[in-house]
Amino acid sequence: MNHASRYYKPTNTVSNPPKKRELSHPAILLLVTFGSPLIIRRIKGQFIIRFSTSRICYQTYSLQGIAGSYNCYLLLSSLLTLNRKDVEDYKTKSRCERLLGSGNQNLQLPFYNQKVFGDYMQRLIPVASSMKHFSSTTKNMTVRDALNSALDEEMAADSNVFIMGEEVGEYQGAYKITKGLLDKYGPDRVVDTPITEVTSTVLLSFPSISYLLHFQLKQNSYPYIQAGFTGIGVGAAYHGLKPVIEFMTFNFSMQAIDHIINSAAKSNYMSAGQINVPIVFRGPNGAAAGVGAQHSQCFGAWFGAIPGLKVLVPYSSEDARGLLKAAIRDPDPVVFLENEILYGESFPVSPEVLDPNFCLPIGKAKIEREGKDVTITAYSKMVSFALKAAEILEKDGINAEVINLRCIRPLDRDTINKSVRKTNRLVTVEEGFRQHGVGAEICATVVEDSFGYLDAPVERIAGADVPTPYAPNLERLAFPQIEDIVRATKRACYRSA
Amino acid sequence: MAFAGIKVIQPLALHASSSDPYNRAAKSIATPSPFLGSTRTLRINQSLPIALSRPASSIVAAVSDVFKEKKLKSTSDLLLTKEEGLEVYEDMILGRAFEDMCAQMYYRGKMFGFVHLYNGQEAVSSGFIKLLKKEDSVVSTYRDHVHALSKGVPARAVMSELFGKKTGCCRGQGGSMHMFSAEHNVLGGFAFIGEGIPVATGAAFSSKYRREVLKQADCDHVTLAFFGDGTCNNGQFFECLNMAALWKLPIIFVVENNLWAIGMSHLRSTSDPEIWKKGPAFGMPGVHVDGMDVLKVREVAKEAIGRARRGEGPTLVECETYRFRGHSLADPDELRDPAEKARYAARDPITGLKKYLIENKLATEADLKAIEKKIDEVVEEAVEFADESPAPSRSQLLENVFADPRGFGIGPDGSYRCEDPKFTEGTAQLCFDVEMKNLMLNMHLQG
Repeated sequence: MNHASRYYKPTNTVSNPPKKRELSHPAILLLVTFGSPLIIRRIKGQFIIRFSTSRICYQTYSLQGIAGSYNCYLLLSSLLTLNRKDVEDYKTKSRCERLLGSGNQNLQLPFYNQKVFGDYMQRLIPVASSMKHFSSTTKNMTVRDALNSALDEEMAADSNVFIMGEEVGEYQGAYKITKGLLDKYGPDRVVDTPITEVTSTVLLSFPSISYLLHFQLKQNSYPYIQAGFTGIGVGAAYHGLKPVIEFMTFNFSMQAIDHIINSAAKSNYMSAGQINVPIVFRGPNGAAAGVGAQHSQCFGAWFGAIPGLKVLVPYSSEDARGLLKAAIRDPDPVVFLENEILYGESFPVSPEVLDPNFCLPIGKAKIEREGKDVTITAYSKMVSFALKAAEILEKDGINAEVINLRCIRPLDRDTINKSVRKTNRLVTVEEGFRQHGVGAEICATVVEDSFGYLDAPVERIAGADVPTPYAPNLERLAFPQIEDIVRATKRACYRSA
Repeated sequence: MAFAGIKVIQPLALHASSSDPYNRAAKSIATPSPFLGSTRTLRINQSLPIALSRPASSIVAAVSDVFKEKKLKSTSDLLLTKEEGLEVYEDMILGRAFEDMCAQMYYRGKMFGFVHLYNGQEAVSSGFIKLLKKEDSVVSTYRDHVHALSKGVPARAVMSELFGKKTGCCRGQGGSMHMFSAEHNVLGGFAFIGEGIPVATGAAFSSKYRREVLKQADCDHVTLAFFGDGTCNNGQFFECLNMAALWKLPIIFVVENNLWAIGMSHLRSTSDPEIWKKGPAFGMPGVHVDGMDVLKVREVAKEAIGRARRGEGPTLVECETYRFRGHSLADPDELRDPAEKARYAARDPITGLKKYLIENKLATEADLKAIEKKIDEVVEEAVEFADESPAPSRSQLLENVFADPRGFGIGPDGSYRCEDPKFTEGTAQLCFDVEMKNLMLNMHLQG
């Protein structure tokens, strides 16, 4: 039997948006730390609950006017009495009521049992995080927050998902993508590793080992997770763990590339589908600023060449959220190439994107900007360059169509070819090297499938054929700039620059 | 003095015995100086220190506290001369002043990317590298500025590199994490954990190869591999310990154990935090030394370098030290306990050496002040030099990708090298970037 069919839960996509839920409960956004004592305070009609503690973990919740609701009993009794059956206990109920009615007072309550607390938190957190978004009025989201929330939601939804990597825990991630996750999910699910890329990769690549881990975890250290929340539709038949491996940068993945390619990518095929590897390798990729040759390069084409891997290249916050969620839910190994420079950039996001069920299809490109004169393909940071170039070109009367690839493997040949058949011209943009690059593949597919439609030679814009230099002026020359895209596009349109 | 209490045991070939016909055959085939691949003979040719009857029971002992106990007992038995003392002091001050200046320049936007500073660890760099000859090699990590300085790369060349200028020791192409100097045998700063160790092992291999295969009898060059505590959990570390011990390579593995990766404590990441113990496991001495005391470091270094130079094989030295700043200048450094920081700050290696020099009347307060003043000027001058230097020219972008851009067989003018009589005579220049060489020479002459 094919495991994949059991593992894979079809996800909601843009074309199939989830039903919006009317919230009968107000948002829960809670501030709680592990430790003692517990302080509950009522400020402007909100209950703020927190543990004053020397530890650095904190989570934010707020209880808005939920007095009397059962959820609140559950929550408070979990905090107060540390025993589930006490929820039904009359004394506890009245204690809660007293508490909630007691308004302005600050209460100091003892708190001892983290595990039981964890049980309740496991149940409550996903509810809280899903409601949080509906109540949110924010329209902009940074890519960093998009990734963080996607990880958070997937971890909340599925206790088989955990994240592992260097400095992902106590340090909150080298680029703060995993911020807050350690406090929420604990060190068993946000695992700080020693600096050992190779081993952590291979260990987690194999579900057979994952099974063992899972079994042990269930039996010993994971009681509250195993008992916990059923999540956003991960089936009961689910067996393997779903590790998310963070590389501090993808440059470090070179230390483990054997296991990405030879262990993760090939296992499903070699085992004739018996052993699939639902793992995500993620981290920043591509050119960064001023960090020299070893820290600044794009691995898109490298991983894109390997059958058995899916290679995602998000650009916006929508991409980051939708694709990361898809990657985690996908039953195969996914290489998820982020971009350090985009982390801090904000993009507008629709409520649909913020829905915990939001997911993007793997293998579909997105037309970021419609146009009729020339097709520009780009991925990751280069999409923003291509869009800016398209704006400049607009002034010169060139109406460029910009395709955000989103996925290098599988490559969305249909969308690219359709676009080229419409515009008859093609410009490819990438940060990686030109030879055997992503652009080369795109050009080849267009020449194969749409040769007769081309009105001009294709233009390929890529990184200079040199290791990344350190000096800023040389570094700038080594990667495509907006002017390069404008110039090449004009060439493709037979306009003089 | 050999490492007190340390027994070094030669690895023993299994089933080895003098009557083994295979070994006799190997012995007769092998060259007089058996190199790699004939390790079996190598061992048989040596006097076996251990009786064959107990092959597996050999224990390699290494005592970590030996140097702590060997505390400087009397002032008459000084650990270094006045000149040495001042040289080491100057080097440490240079390291500190240079790094402080780097921080300033980074915040002023003069340098970019990741800049990892060495503050606090100076005793290791100065303690080891100042004992080296120019031909000896140093392989470093991303925290490499001070290793390069100690090895003799002029401060202005390093500063200029950090500014991304053409006069930098790598013409602005390397950057903070990638300091190279062929002249001073700084074989590179390597940005990734563990990456430098195999390179260093290879450098040590080449010394042995030159001596034993190419018969360059005077090639007793030693390689120092610097790396941190985090690296000791990386596979490359273990692989290289094995090869270095197996082939008795002239290398010293210097662990700068500053107790922290970025925000990952050494104790949280390592099953057995005593790194020095991993040396004996591979058949080489493992030594633990207080990396905040340059005199102790120097003494251990002297012994280890001597051992390597004499062809007695590698040593693993764990220097327990501390970085006074964050992992890099981008690190907010929030996870380390302020009390821990204060404890190590109180043991500043520079203050320690200063005290020793003055107490033992090796230097006066004025001598040291003069050195500090001199170094301030050197660093100021380096900044001025770097600031005034030109940025790399545009054409430089495409240079240096290959040593021989046209590929072997085709000369720079496009002619076939096989048609050049010098080529068959073996006197043709094959791959040589003359301009680069001249530039480096000029720079160092100025420096």
